Amino acid sequence: MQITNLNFYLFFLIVLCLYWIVPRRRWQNLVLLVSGLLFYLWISPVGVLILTLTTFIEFQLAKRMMSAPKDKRHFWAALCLNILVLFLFKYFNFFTPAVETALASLGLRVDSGVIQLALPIGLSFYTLRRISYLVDIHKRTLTPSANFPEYLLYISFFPQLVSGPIDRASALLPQLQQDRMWKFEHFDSAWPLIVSGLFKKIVIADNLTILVDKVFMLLEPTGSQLVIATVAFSIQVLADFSAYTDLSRGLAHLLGIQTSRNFNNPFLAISPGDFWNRWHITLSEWLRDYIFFPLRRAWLRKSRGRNTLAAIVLPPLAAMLVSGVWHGAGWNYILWGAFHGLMLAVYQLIPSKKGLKGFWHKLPGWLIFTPLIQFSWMLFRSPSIAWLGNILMHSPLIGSADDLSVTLVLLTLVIFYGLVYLVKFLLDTYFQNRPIIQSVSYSIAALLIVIFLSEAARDFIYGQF
Amino acid sequence: MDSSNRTDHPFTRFLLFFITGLVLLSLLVLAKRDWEYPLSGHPTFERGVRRNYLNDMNNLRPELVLLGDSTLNWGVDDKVVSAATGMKLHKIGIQGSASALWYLLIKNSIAQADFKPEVVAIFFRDTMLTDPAYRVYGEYFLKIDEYGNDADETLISKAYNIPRSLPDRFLMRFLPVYAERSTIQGWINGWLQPLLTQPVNGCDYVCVEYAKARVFNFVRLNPAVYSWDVISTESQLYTADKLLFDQQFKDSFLPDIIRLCKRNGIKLVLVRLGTNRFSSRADEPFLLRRYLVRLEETVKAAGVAYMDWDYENGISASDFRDSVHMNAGGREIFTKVFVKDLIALLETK
Repeated sequence: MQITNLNFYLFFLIVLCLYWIVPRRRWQNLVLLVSGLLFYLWISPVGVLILTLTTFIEFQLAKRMMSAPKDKRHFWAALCLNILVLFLFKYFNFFTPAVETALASLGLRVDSGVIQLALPIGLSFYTLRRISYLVDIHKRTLTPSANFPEYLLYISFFPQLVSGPIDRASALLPQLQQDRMWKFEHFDSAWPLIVSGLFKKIVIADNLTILVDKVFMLLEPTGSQLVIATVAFSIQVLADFSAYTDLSRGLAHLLGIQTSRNFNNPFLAISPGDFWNRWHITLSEWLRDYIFFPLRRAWLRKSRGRNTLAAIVLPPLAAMLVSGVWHGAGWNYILWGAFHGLMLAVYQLIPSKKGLKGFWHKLPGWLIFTPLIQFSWMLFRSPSIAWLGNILMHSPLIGSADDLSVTLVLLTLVIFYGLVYLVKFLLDTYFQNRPIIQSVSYSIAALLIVIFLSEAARDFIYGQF
Repeated sequence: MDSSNRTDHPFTRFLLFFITGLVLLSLLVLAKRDWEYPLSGHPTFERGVRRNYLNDMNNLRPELVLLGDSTLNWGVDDKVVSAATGMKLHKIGIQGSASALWYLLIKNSIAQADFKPEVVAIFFRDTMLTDPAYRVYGEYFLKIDEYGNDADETLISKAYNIPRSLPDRFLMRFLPVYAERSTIQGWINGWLQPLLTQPVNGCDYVCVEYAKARVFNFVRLNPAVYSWDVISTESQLYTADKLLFDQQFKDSFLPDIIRLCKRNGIKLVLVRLGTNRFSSRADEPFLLRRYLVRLEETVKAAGVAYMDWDYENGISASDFRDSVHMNAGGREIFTKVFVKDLIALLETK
């Protein structure tokens, strides 16, 4: 069940009515917990078992961390459990051929069909939430929840379950522990997010994906097709992922819960640091707080406070490699992460003026950084590095007349949907206080949603990570 | 809150504009559909049967018709089959086709021909024959639209009405914009896609569609990536409900196909094609095997010949181009196996 299809909204409507009818916070949480598990059961029956069981074990270990603070074994056991489960489901298949070869060399024939594991939806996202919970308890910045259903609700909070945002326990748990009363403001803040999310997913992302997927499926696209399809993909992935965030935030608002903003016009970024402050913000904050800062502090301690080359290069490289591996088991993701890590390091090494303001000051930075970020999307989306290398080295730029027509169609779509983003940005920036214009734009978006609603809803890209 | 405040509320204003737009667009759609309301509740087949194989059937007068999707084109060498059986053969392998289209072809072309073929062999994968809504929406609808028309009640009921959810059926009947959204999408695409091609290289919408078909032709696709795409698309054939044969059979096109063939004196042969998902019968999931056993029992009881995929036929994973299409090696082996089984079947007749 996709959060863009009609059945989901019928389900959510029932949950919403029940949620606000029941009198107390405890009952509201129960409604949310049960509906979250039912929703998850619907999309991933095995996933529910894994989530509930591992969350229970982790909850017990977290409690023990609190009762025996000097004993670090509980912390490490819980941390290892999370990492082990993530690696088992996410990366096992990646290593299966190597495992099969190794077993075959020992004379054991294992059929890959026997040892293929399917990734439970949402595992990557809730694993990061659980790790942050454990580390925060370990650092004494958070008190563990004393109530298992409440903690399970935080992990399985269904608007965030599939693709985040990765909200920390310190942000979400206190809200779940508070009484919530229905206010019309909940609806006021929710409906524009829901319309915007559905528009981005159904109208922009799902339309772009048709041609983008086909270009990346070609044995040999032309150079121009590859470049324009990459730009189209960058629009598609932003529309797709930010659509999920908007929908997730909108649904949470209807439940009286505030969740984090995950995107802030990433196309306007002028440097890698700026990009990660605008793109998948909750993930980049997670990487910053749990990988980058600890590594940087450790390195500075080691070098007695001197800002050595290693202290500048290694922490962002490690953080971005983790980001790449988190996205998936594939060399393209690892290279994508490494490329981002290196960009962050290089930009740190280049002296720059802080706090640049104004369009003309930012333009050179934008012109340099945008091709770099597009190249990173090329690495991310390519089916393999060998394929990408072959296209970049050997493919003709334009190709046949048919190839040119397809390239021009792609370019038209990029310009059209790029303009849609530009219009949205201008409306949000300059017409925020012009309610008529806002209402008209949302109503056009809603009309287009009805027109482009598809029988077979496409999966969210980040749902598979 | 007084009434002026209520209409000033952003959501109320949004709703007013939205409903106005919806009504205006609906009127436009209704005008196009001769003011029929409520609507029929299924996609409209606008132009009747636009493409049929009736002329081919009458001209070629084939004794044997092979029917299937692109896997048939890649899996069977029709010249070898024709030479070995001595039968005049017509192969209809339509990329992206499935049971709805095969039913239409049998009903509107094969059964209508002056000269009825002796044998029709349908090549299918696993649960395709009992999933009437497989490959009938989106780009596939355009194909169905070429072969079907509004008078095909069985098609409409089985492919479009029964499998729809309640809200979907409601909107299809009462919201014209929703019901006609494929047409409106066509208008938008027809305007948007040639915006640059028309002035740059004089390629209009039809020319763009042909260019896309040639550039994204199956043979230009990367088999490794394409395989994943097929596996992900075809996963809907293996859901728990689709594997319950007895529940699916009644509402599928299979009983209609069997009835049409019987009525026209055509010997129907169902040929299950393998995929490189499974390398042996033991690999097949229990529910799929149970489904296939029930399929075989049911069709054989109805007098239909059934050829299951033989895992010992010598075709291995390396004989597949991707997850479902055989390569030249696989095609050579499979054609021989099919010819042998077909001749045996014709001899026992």
